[in-house]
Amino acid sequence: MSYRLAADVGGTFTDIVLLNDATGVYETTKVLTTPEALEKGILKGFDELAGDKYAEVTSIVHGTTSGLNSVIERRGAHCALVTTKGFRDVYEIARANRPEIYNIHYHKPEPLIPRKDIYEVDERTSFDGTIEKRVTKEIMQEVIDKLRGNYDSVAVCLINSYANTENEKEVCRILEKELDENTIITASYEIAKESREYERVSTSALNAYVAPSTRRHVYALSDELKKRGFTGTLYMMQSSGGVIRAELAASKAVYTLMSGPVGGAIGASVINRDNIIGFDIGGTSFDVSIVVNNRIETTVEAEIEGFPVLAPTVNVFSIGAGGGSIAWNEAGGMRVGPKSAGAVPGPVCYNRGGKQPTLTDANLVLGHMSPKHFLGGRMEMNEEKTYEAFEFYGNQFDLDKITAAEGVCEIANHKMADAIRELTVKRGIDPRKFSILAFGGAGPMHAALIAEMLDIKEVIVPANPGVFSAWGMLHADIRHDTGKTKVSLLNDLQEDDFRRNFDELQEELDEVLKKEGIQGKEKKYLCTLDMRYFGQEYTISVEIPDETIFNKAQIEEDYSKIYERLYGHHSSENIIEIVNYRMTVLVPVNKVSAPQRTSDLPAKALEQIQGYFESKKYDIDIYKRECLVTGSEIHGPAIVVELTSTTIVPPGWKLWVDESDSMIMTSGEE
Amino acid sequence: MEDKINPIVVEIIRNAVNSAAREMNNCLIKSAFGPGIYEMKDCSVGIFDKDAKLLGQSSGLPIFLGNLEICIQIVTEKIGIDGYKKGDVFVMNDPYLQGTHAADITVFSPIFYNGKLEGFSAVRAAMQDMGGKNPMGCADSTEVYQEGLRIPPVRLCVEGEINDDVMDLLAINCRYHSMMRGDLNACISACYTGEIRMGELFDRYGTETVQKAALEIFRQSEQMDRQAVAAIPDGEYLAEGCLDNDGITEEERPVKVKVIIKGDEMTIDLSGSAKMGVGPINCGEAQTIAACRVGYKELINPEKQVSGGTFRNLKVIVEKGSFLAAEEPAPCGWYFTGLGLLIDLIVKALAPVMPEHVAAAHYGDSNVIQFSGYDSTRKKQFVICEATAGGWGAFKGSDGQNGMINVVNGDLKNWGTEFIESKYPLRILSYKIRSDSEGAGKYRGGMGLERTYRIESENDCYLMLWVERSKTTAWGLNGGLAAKAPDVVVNPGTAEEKHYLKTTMLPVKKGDVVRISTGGGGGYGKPEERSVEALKQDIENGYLTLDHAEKIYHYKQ
Repeated sequence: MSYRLAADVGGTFTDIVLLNDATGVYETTKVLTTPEALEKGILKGFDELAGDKYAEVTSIVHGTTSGLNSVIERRGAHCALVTTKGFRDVYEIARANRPEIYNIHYHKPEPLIPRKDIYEVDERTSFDGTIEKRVTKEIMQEVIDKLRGNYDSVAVCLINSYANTENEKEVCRILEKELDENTIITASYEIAKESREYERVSTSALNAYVAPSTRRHVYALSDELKKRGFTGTLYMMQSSGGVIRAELAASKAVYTLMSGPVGGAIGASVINRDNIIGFDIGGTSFDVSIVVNNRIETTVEAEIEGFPVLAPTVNVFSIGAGGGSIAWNEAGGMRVGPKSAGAVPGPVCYNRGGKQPTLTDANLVLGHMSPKHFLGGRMEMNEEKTYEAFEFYGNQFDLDKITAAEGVCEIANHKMADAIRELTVKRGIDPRKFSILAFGGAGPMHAALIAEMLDIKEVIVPANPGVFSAWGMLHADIRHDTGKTKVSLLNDLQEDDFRRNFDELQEELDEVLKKEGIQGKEKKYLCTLDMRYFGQEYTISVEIPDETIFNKAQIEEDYSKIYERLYGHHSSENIIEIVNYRMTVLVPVNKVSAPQRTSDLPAKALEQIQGYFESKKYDIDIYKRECLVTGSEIHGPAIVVELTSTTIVPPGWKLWVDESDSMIMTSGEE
Repeated sequence: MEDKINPIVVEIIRNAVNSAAREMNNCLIKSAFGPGIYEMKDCSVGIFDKDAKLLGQSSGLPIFLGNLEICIQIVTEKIGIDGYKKGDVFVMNDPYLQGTHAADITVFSPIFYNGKLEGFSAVRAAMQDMGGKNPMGCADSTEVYQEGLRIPPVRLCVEGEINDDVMDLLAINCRYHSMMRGDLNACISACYTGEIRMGELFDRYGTETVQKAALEIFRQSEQMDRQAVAAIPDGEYLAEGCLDNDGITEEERPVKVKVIIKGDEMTIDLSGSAKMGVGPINCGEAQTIAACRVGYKELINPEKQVSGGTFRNLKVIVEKGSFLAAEEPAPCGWYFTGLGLLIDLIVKALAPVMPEHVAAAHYGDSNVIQFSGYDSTRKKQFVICEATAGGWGAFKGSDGQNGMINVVNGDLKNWGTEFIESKYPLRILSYKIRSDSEGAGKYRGGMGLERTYRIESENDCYLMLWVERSKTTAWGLNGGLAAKAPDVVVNPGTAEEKHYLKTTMLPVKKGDVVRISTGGGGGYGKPEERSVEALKQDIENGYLTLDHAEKIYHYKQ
């Protein structure tokens, strides 16, 4: 037998999935996250599922939000930054903008590396790559003396290093030689070889900040796994939606920072639909990702805590609306969120001291969840207090408690639907042609209602929606990205240059694969050009289906098509400029869908409760998910409960289970 | 009350309209050709009801707040409410009507639903150039006619078709023809986006419900504003400062602010401020009102969405003949210079009664630096024009921010060194924080910045500068001190060293060095009360020199 393991390490829980590679059968568990030493929690979960078969596990993939949390909580490494003379303050000045335009108390994000830890080297490369002042050890000596023994991690980012890496390489070479061997050195050209010094220095500083803890974690985990007889490969999830060998991830930690929510997006890309809007509703946020033509959407630039990051990142769009979102009164207007009751005090119904009504409370009042079966009945809910809270809240608007609760739900659902609409329409996508895939604890509770607002016909709730993200990670390909800035007009571009640029990138990628020990396996290269009309700043990425074919007319046509889709117009009189060349290599992993479950018994309701949809009272059937097997079909209004999630089937919707054990909901009109 | 509208629907509509406005803004920014829009976000969009009352907005630039509606009102007055046809798009830039200056254009279109006029979607955006005697504006204009093409409200699209005559006329009058076309197209498509999204909302709820919801949204905003103003003690609160000059004549130009609080109403009276000047600091009244709204908004519910009900309890008084109520043919090219001061003065006036809300002054002006000429490397004409960041004011409990863009420029981003060097014949020698430039205080003001350029072109180049607020620098509050003034020096440390603040078309040649230093922000509280720990860190980080810390803060090691 051969197995694969995945761990999705969240702030509170670590989700574990063990997958049988041949059958697709999998087991899951949830353990508490151990923030002081993440490997402890991970291993506890691994031991539970795979304790007796580590030797049969071929690979392990894990993603964690711990790097991100260390940035949020400012718990990263003691770092230094080395830069070009005259440019010490680029990092602190940032782009000097002020996003909160009426807030005279606005603060920029506090730099991760304070000014006193930023050092200048008297060197210079010009914009065209000419080295005007070379780096020597003599020039570096003063900086070396100050760095030696004082820092765990050093970022190096020199002006114009994207145009010529020589000086930056030399600085790194000297530092590697002169500093303690445990000091991690981050070179900007290795992380992001793109023009724009602030964005590059920000990315490098973030990497330097989280690399030491990432390395510690990877070493600790792989040591423990070895002790348990694991001989396979340990991977880490990247923000791009691909995996990277853990040892490599230690030096490119910034690539893994946003890996938390991407598992769900990858999972969505494996579900057998071409176009999917995937979302997860947690306690405080609503996270959406989009799969178009079976491909996850990624962006080339993301933002972490206000700092730009030049790293390919799965587009996950979040708004502050979740189960804990508080309903409040502003000048006689009903508002829901973005403030959340969080886990403590939590919603009123949790009975932990929460007084303000939340979205979760509204669902309880409406009978959209079964108090008896919430979290498998492990949590007792205080219905009475919840009703009182809504009675009081509704009174302020002359509404009864049911109408008020329905209002809170509807406002939140609309906010989420608006977010999806903005996100899709902005990309020139019509949401009506998509299916919704809902996962996480509360996603399936709101999915059908949001689908109705968007005129979406189909909602999919996968097996084990509560650990879907971990399951998704098992389907992530090995992925590496690289790119370079090389600006030219499309018209002036020569075939030789075009080929050379991509050839160079491919060599780079093959080099990384070699380091990972991957050779001779099936692999796929994706080439893109970032282009814009001459004079614009923002670029659009255009895929080059075959980089061995140089067809300017085709490139121009593809660009215009995408431009037209995004903005509703394009201009044939404008000149097109190429800015960046990008290349991605993917080494696919085995993808297996979950097997079907069968049963001879008809799907039978567990109990019936009373609840409300569109102000009408209904008897609602409650089903256990275990009882619904491939081929089962039920009709709304109904609720399906399972340990980690609740699915609502509104009146007029039906739900059936497909051969991969996913629940499919469709609106009855069809 | 049978008229009462369901509060749930109101909230859904409120969120949806703002979502629609954000979508318009995205559409504009992403498809624009001019860096003023896509990079500096020098733009603003709004969705209005048919009485030109704001329903939802998404804004990059605070001073565009609340003067889009007047453009719609002007056209409605001119052509009548029945004069609009579906698909019409209007364009205008007349500073005496809309405020701002020639380079900012307003584009708006009526929103029709089922053949009936139901509202408007509008865009304000900065164009790269609007003609005029120098590229990207000049520092020495004495008439509006020198500042570029002046456009009264005209139809850019007629019933959905672009009016090529107007488009051609505008494009040819601007130095970058195709950029102008591209940006106008972006504005048009943003307006149409607004109409489409509002149409969807009408489909769902019907126009009557949306109208009723709008009234309720206005009521909520108004109530919040009135409550906040009522909490301020009644009285008259004064503040004044001055601009260095008007760019042409030497004398200082006072700005006088009297804020009158009476019950839940606020009046901002600007009487006694300077008369219209010869130089280009004049500002259309619509724009002055918009600036007062920014000052108001900084203190009254800054975190709340603006709607047609916001500012209903604000009255602005500007005297006829004031430079803040410019009339033809007064030049308005640098209208925003007085506004930065005006906004800070409103805050200063109310400082004694709103100690938790205020902050000391920020460096205050855009401090614009522009290079132009012939680029011998790239073999073409070039212009690069940039507003520069400086220090912000300290406030109770916090130091001011170092190097951040001034209030009138909103979310504008600076240009990076690599960007500048790759596009223009300039070398950046350094870009750094200007030590000791802060207004000292228990909480110190932010530091100004310093950027040093070297000219790389073999051909003749020119320097234009508009740097203000050297006389009324960023003041402190509660015993905090004022910050350092800005300064520009050409060829520092040489025999030809010379200092400037404003200049037009000053010749510069290859190898010349230009250094611009911006002012800091004002301090809050007495400097001698600053903690030793904070001073130690300031010195360690190099924000303050030891000498300065000892002298101003009485720091002892």
